[in-house]
Formats: sequence, structure tokens, C-alpha cells
Amino acid sequence: MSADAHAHHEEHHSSTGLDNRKLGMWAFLGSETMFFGSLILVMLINKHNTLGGHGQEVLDLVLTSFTTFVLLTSSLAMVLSLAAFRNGSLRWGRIWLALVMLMGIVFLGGQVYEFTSFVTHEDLTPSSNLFGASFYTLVGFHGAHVAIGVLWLGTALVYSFRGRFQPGGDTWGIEMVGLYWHFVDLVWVAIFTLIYLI
Amino acid sequence: MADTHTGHGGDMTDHAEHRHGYLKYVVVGVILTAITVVEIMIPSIQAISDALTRTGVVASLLVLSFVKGAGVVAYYMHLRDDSRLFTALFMFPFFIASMIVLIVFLMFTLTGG
Repeated sequence: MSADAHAHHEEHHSSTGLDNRKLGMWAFLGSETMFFGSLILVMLINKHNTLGGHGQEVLDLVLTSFTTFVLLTSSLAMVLSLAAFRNGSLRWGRIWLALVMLMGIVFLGGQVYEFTSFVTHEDLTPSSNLFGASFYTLVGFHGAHVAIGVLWLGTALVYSFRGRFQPGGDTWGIEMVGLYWHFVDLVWVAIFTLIYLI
Repeated sequence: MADTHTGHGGDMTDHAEHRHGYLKYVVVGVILTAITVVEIMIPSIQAISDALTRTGVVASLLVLSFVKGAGVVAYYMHLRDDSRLFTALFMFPFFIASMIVLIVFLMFTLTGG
């Protein structure tokens, strides 16, 4: 094992005996749960506050079902990427990681299309009514999280080409971006059901 | 792990374990997709939503969504095999958030706010 790989393999244990980086990540995801919980609550309360304008009926279930499928599949690709890196298969790890990125971009494209069509065809903007304000805030924040995830995935991919995540080395970076990505998927599972389906 | 390979026999065992691990993730992925398809069908197909009534539709969608979320957390986020402290760190805020959503939503619904 090279000195560099050894340095990356260095573990960061806390007094609990657990890796403090992972502990921090789970604490962060816990706080994000509270954040999205409050946004979802506001959306549920304002779901029918349309002031006679457009509301839930404009939501496109076909498009959103497709993007939901894409995001769900990206979670599978993410876990396969982590498994490949852990098993020492850099090539497959990178391929799955690039696929996750691609699917994240497709999801964002769907969201941009959805927002654009609401604004241009349905005249539904954040200032139209409380439904619009809550919808754009919730779905927009989720989209921002996906965008940050895509950037993070891209960074991890670049690092993998620069010698990180070598067989036998530390795959911590992939594990962290994986946790974040699955969380983003998890939030979408809730949004899709509560806002689009119910 | 790649650096734990000790010989030809070890390689074969590791290879089988890796394949089993991949297969598990794919099976979970297929199940999650199937649940999503059922979720979409429930409110979209008139006969199903009529049979379930409004309350049944909402309840079944919430249960299916919870099962889907639990699948992601347990298998993809590896919480099933990880330390209980991570589970507590994640589930405690989730429980608080769920309770707040439920209580405030019911408050608004019942008072017509």
C-alpha cells in the first residue's frame, strides 16, 4: 500500500468507537430530515390555497413518474458504484458513478422542464398563490440538493482518476456522497407521494 | 476487499460474495420500482381508487412510501448492518419531523385553518 493510500486509509475514530466523519454525516442527514419535514408540512397546509388560480391539477404525473424512476435507479447505481470501489474494481466504480451523475442531470432536466412549463403555460409562479410559493420552495430546494449531489459526484469521479479510492484504500469519499445521494432520493420518495400522488 | 484475497479458493469465495452483494442490491431496486408502479396505479386507475375510497388511497400510499423509504435506508444506506447509533441519529429527527407534520397538519385540517 502506498504512503498516500495509507494516509487515506487512516481512520477517524471518536470516543464512541465509530468513524466521526460518518457520525457527522448521519447527524447532518438528521438535521436535513427536520428541514425537509418543515417544508413538506408547509406544502401540505398550502396545497389547496390557490386563490382561484392553478394548483395541484397542473402537476404532470407522467413526467414525474419518469423522473422518479430515474432517481430511484440512480440510487441503485450509486450502491453498485460503492460496492465496486470496495471490491477494488475502479473501472466499474467509475462507470456506475458516471451513470449516477447522468441520471441526476436527467432528473434536474425534468425539473427545469416542469418549472418552465408551469411558468410559461400555466402562469404558475412562486408569487401566484401559496400553493406556488410552497411548491417551488420545496421542489426547488430538493432540486438544489440534487444539483449539489451531481457536483459532489463529479468531484468524486475526478478524484478517482487522480489516484483516490484505490483497491485496498479508503472508499470513505464514495460512501459519504452515496449516503447524501440516497438521502436525496429518500426525500423525493416522500415528496412524490405526498405532493404528486395524494 | 481486494487486499484480503489469499489465494485461488479465497478469490472464488470473494467473487461469489461480491456477486451475491450486487444481486441483493438489484433485487431491492426491482422491488422499489415495483412499489412505485403500484403507487402510481392506485390514484391513476379509477376502479382501484374507487374501491379503496379516499382514506384507503391515502393510507395505502403512505404505507407503500414508508416501505420504499425503509428499503432505501436499510439496504442502500446500509443502516441495517451499521451501528445503532447511526440509526438513532437519523430516526430520532425523522420521528420528531413526522410527529410535527402529523400534529400541525391535523390541527390545520380539523380547525379548517
